[in-house]
Amino acid sequence: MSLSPLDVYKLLPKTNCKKCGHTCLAFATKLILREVKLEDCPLLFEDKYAENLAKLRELLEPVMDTYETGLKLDESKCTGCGNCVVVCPANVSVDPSVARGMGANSEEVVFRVEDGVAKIVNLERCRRFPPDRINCRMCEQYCYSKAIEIY
Amino acid sequence: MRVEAVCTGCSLLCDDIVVEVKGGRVKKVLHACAIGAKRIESALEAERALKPLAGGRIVSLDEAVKQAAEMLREARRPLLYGWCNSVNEAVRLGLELARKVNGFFDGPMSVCHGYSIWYARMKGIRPPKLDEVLDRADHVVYWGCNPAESHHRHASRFAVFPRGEKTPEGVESRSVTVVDVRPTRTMRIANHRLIIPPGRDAALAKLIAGELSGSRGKPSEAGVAEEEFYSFIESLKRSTYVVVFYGLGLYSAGERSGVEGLYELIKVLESSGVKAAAIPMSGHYNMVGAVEEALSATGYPYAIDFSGGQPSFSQEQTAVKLLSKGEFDVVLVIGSDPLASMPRQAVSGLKKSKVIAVDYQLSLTARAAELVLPAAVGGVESGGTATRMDGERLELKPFLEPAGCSRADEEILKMVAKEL
Repeated sequence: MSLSPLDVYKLLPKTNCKKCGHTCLAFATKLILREVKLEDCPLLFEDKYAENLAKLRELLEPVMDTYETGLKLDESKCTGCGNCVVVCPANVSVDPSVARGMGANSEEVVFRVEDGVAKIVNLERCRRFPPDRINCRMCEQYCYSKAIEIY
Repeated sequence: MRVEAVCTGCSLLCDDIVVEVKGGRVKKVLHACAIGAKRIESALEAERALKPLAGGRIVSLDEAVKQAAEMLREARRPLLYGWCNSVNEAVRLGLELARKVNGFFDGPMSVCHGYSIWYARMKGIRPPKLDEVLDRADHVVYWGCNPAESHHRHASRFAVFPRGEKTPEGVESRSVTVVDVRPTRTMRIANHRLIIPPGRDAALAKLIAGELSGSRGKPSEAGVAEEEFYSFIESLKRSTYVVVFYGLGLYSAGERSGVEGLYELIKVLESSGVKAAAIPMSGHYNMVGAVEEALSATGYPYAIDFSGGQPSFSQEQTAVKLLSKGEFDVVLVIGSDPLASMPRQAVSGLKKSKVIAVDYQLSLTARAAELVLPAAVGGVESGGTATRMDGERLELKPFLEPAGCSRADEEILKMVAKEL
């Protein structure tokens, strides 16, 4: 993924008002690293930036999708065994009861089983995402039904 | 509203389930596997038995109860069959009812894990609790069972993935071995995969025991690949706490030598200084409870004949065998679908008898029954205690009102007993 901070910066208000606590260029970098959200910039939600906001959302969307982590979950193959829920190190660090094999009650986890199938709740928490960028494949390795694929 | 629940989808009785309920309907089920979620959803399905039926005609509950009592009272030789999908309290009432009508008490346990549960109790073996497996077992063996298809959360909730006291790295702190007659999905999480021909379980158990006690045999005797076998043995020798979960694969063609061989191996492991245990992977959510209740009430595990007044038992005289001979004239079926699951001969015996079905769904058996008494879904609409595969008793936490005219198994059995 070659999303440059400059591409993002171009669409920001470029006022360096620091209402978000950063300069616009620093904010652009942090957006890509997922350390801040678009909502942290109040100016962007003014009418005159509506078009820019839409473009930014589109630009940043791949980060939210499977493109950046290369993680895909086919819910039609899943049996809800919860191996991914318990084996995922990110899940355990967010919700310690998961370490004991319990279901994930935190809203912040990567995986959770809902209505009998695993769901990706917060893909951006996956360790494959920046800033960690770890080539972790635990969920894929231990999936009984090959519902999880990392490519 | 969010409520906690205990899942009755299988004998793991997962007690961390969260259900979102709104206006008496289930909105979302958290943490239950596909089997558990389906069980909860089934409470709301179209196939639900909601009204008492007599000869296909809707009748009042009182009328149905009266008729059930009359059928049982007049029966020449009644069978009371099922119990593995009922709570312990209902099983107790079932045993009393069987005594009262001089009936025959049995269920799927007599052709499933009843023998394993009974065998261990006879030998005075108490299996470790699953929480102890979680905390201490560093080698888990799945033998003749395939939890990836039958007990989906077994590995993630208890046996393999959780981080325990002596297993701080979860799956990394344990070895996992799968023994089966073919490659299975469970093998995807295994370090050692031992594939053997059907019926060689006892031979394999003996071979492993031999390796541990210094009398070497040949892997070919058990039909297992040499390389896999020795890498497993090496790993076994390094283990400190081995727990074997075994399935019906150990009973090939009704043989019991597999189960007995396995418990011999457990003894050898223990005497070589390794802590070891075996736990049968019973399927129905309360099979262990049904067998334990029967043992404590009569001293017998299943297939209990009250026809002579006092209970008697023979391992060879199970409901399946006696049905095949057309022995029963009235059969009360509770929480089971023998018409769909029994061998052909037993089914034809069943078809010749008058059936009273107590079930939450209009199963094949219920559809063919003379009388249907609609039951509440255990764990969803009705409570009580159930016994997990390791013998731990759990209190169910129902969260819906029984649908239609359905009642808890216990309530139905009490009404019938009162009418008698």
